[in-house]
Amino acid sequence: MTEAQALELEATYVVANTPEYLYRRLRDSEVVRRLANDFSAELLATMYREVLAKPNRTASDVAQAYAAMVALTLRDYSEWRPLIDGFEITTLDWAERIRAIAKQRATPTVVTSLTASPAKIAAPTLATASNTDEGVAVRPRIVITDSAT
Amino acid sequence: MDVRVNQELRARYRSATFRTSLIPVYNCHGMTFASRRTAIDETEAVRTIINEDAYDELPVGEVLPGDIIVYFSPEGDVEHSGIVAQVVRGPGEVLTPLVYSKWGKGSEVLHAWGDCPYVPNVRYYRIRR
Repeated sequence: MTEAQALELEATYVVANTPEYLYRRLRDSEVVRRLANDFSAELLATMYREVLAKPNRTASDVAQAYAAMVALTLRDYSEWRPLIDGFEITTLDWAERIRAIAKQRATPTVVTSLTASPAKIAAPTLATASNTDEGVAVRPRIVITDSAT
Repeated sequence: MDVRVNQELRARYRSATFRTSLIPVYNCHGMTFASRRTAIDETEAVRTIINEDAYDELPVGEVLPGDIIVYFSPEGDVEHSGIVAQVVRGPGEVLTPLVYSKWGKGSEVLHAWGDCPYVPNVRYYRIRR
């Protein structure tokens, strides 16, 4: 991280009045987005732990710890969710609340695959009456049973 | 707190007047609502103070020095607050409040209401009692 990037993170941390503000601003930060892109979830977790392990933490160190935490939450939900639960959160004022905000506002992507044999997909419904010359718009009707084979 | 951060903020907000050095003891809400004695960092706590201390919301046209300005995030969180120090009538009779506020763990600052690191989505309040 360059000195200018570290200074930007520290400035964001210094002017933050609430953890919600810090979380929102860090998520929008180009520096944090770059961290999320350039480092794996494990490396970001390590970065967080290493900063916390420093004996005399500066405001810049604290800002970087929060940045690592938020960068982690920009990665895939399945990667960061188990890692962040293991974070030491008692020695940073807002760590617990930022973690809670991240979990609360996360939108995990859930992909559900539905399979059905062709026999269970019904033919399009037939229009039998219309009030206009254009007829009735008909959409294919898909029937999926709960015992697809 | 790093002196460079203070310099960085002063460089970014040139029209603002930074009255103090960085003070981590209290934040904006602590200055606005708690006489600089503590930091208040929960949206719900600020909402409680506004309700229980009997603040009424004001239209911007009625704002006077001494009224309170509260900044809200897009999600509705209370991100910042301050005290209106002066109301300047600009071109087209547009009112531009000057605000006195504390920026997080940083300085107390006199600034135009929109010239600060917070989303300019604001409401104004005046204490009733």
